[in-house]
Amino acid sequence: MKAAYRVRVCAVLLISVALICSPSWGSYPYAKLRPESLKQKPLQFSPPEPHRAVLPNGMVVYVLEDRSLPLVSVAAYVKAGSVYDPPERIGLASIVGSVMRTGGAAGKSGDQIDEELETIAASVDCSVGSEYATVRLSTLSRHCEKALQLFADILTKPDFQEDKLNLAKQQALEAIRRRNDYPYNIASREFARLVYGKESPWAWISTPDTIKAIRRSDLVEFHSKFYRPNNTILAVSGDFKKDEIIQQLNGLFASWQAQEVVFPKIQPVEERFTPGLYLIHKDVPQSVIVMGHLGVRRLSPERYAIQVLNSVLGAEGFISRMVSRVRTERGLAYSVWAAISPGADRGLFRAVAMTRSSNAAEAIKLMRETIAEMLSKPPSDEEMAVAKNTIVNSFIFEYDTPEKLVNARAELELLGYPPDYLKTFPDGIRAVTKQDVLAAARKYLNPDKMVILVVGNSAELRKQLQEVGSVTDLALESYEDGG
Amino acid sequence: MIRRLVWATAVLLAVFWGGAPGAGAQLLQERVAEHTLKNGMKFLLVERHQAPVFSAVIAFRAGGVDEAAGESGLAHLLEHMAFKGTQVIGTKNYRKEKRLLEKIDSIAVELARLEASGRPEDAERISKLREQLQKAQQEAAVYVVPNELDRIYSVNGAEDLNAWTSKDMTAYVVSLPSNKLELWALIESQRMATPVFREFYAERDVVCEERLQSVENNPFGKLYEVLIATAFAAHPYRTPTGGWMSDLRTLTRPQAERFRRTYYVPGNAVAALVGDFRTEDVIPVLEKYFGAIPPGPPPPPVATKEEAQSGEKRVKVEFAAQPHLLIAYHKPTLPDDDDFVFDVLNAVLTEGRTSRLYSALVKKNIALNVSSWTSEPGARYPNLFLISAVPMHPHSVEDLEKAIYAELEKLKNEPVPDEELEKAKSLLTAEFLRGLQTNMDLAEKLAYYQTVAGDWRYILRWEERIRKISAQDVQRVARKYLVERNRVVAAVVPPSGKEETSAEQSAGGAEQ
Repeated sequence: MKAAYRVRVCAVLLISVALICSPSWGSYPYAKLRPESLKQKPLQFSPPEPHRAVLPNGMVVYVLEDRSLPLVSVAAYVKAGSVYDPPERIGLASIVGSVMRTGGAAGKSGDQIDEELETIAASVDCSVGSEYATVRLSTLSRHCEKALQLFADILTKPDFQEDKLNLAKQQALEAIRRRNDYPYNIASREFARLVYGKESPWAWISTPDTIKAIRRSDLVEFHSKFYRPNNTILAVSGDFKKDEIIQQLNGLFASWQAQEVVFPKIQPVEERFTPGLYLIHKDVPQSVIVMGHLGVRRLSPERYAIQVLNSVLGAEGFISRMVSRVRTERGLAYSVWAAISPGADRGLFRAVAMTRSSNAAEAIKLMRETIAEMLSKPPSDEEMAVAKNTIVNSFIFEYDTPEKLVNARAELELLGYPPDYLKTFPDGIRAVTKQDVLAAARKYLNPDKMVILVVGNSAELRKQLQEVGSVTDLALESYEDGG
Repeated sequence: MIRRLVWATAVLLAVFWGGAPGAGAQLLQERVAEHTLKNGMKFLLVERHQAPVFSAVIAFRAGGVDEAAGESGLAHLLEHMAFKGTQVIGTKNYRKEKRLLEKIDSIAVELARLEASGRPEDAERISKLREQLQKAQQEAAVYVVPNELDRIYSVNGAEDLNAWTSKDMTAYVVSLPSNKLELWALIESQRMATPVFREFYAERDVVCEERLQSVENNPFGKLYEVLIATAFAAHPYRTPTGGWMSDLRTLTRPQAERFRRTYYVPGNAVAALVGDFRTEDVIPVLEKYFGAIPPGPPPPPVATKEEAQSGEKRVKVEFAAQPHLLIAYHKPTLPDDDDFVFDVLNAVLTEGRTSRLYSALVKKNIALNVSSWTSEPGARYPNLFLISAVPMHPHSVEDLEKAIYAELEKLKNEPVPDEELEKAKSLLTAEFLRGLQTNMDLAEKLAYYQTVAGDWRYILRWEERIRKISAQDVQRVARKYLVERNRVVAAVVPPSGKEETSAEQSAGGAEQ
């Protein structure tokens, strides 16, 4: 026994001492055991089915009880995102979301609502994305009735107090002033503008002028147009009885009237960008690289193949080629990924890495090669198995809590996915062949016609980037002195 | 890509842990089963049968604070290395690989020594060693199966696969379908007992990139690092968990091995499992795999103590970004009575939209945002109460500072009204309850308090302690700690030699 450990670890005094202290310890016996050799019981699980109700005013509600903690969560998904901003008032949708929460409702001032919510330790928050706004409530179940009332008031009867509007506008201007503080934010924003065009609702950004142009009447009009029960889906989960909560919601939202929502016409995305190598100067030691082009529509027939392709090419979880090559093998980056992301119109294809400026050219070449290889031959059988198993076996985490499940269902319905989307998803992935992945790569990836944007120190970057291609400098719009 | 990012997001974590218990305490009391193996490793088990999944956290009481001088970043680099596999995972032939790894080490150790001493006459030897290192790494790469540990977890349906390092501890986390519990026990016990730190020097480069991303490229990351390094003169809390770049570049595999053997002993580890399993079925599995890991002696304590600060410290961080202010006060850590008072004081100041600093700064258009945390950069040792605020143009950080001090003075001069105190406490307890919602939330919480406070039951007692805190307590603590002598102030300011940009750009233009 002693001989054994002396041979193994004689140089390490601490361990030897430990072994002498407890002589009964041998060496760890499972050092050679491979994980595949373990037997696994098959997993049986049919997730609970949320109840889908349609209230008389047309609002769809997903409800699922969860009695594990005395909490209730509600989320309203409203198709009222920033793509519906009037072009001369970009930022309006977002300001509506913010002042809806702060600017009072149903005759109560915003500060009074804050006080009432926090006295019962409840919270209501609004966030606004490009397609839809989300208003979320979290409350203790014992205060559910009161909290729901405040939530409904905020959602349906906002007063948009003038002073809170002014505050929100000041905050929006401050955010504009700060939008170039973080190099990744610059890269991600400017890449979208290069690919979609600055005027596209999918890439446009507010300016001091578009914010200053916003008036209270714009908020009232926007709210009245888009915040309608027939344009809203509610996700409700937590500690309640299903029938009681539905009855309660019926009462709360009875006076909220449906009205046909006429969405502004959004110009279809056109492939008009100029491929090439672009450089934005920012005095930081690590540069951010974003390369890619337009992506796909959300419900494209190849959506499962694309998901497998993403996993093989660029998933962040260490199973992809991009992470293996750029991070694991070469140590060039901590963050690196690539994905074709689906959109309502064309989404984006992006490959992203952050690397010290002296490695930028090497990283760009390696990333480009890795993308190009997807078009030359199909993934290996092993890659296919890894990608498909990873997606299918972790799918259970999409619906392992009632809150996740009702929110997923609400969001999917709002975005136009079929009702059985979650149910049929695993089979859709299983059916993907490596030829499907190759075909999707050839159809949707074009490594020769990409926008490659680098944000970093131009003095350190310029020479090496010129080896990669001819460099176009982009200047950042700066609003530091405005506002 | 959250994995291994946490050392840089310590502040966010503190938000999570800064809040704490309430009605949840009762829910927990009966449901946490404790099991300690003969080798000293402790397990905390909570059954939850909502869905056939579980979350697992293994925490070691080993963090940045345990690093020796010149080895900053080692605990975090070791966390990365723990994903490189074992003697059977990640290798095609460990016997052959092992010899090459030793060869790589001997080159790397000499290289690190010569690079650190920086003598010009070593230049030739250094470049020769670099070549040798690269060649030896290529030879070893033949035997490597890259990222195999991640891949095994992934194909088995892992979610949240991650790890993080703070000043106090290192944690390895994953959620899995419930039929994978034995798989988890095998992989985790194997990487505790027989890990292999292959691809060490490429991963060291990755960690350097992580530092660039989270600190050098990130104005808040930089500001936080400078504030902490300024606040502590003696205590190892001063060193960033991510490490100083010059230390990082010279870390070697033997150093990481030594750190592991000292701190990754079973008696210094706690695992929390929450999810769909039966405790009586799980314990034999834990006994079998983790029970087979040999014990080790308890790791050495941290001896250095921070002296009381003798006067205010102020520091500026020049960065190409808009202004940002941090104000910190030294304070005791748990389980000191005053630490509980800080939880309440913190809630009064910044929890919610009716809190004092939010009302006085954000609602008054002086700040874009304001927040505060009670235990930076950790909670094993006396720490800092930290306020972060971002000024609204045209207000300066000085305006902001004045407005914050005015609110702190109010806390000292007048007791907090009862109603306000109650509201702060109920917000705190509700926040705690929300933090128990997912399996992972609960597992992390249990592992954290067991590791840092020495007993997960700290959570149970917390609510009672909070309930007893009076307006006089808050006033007394504000008067005692929130004073100028005890304060550290740091701010992001614009670079003094403004825009060297234009010079380069015109030069660049000329080149084209």
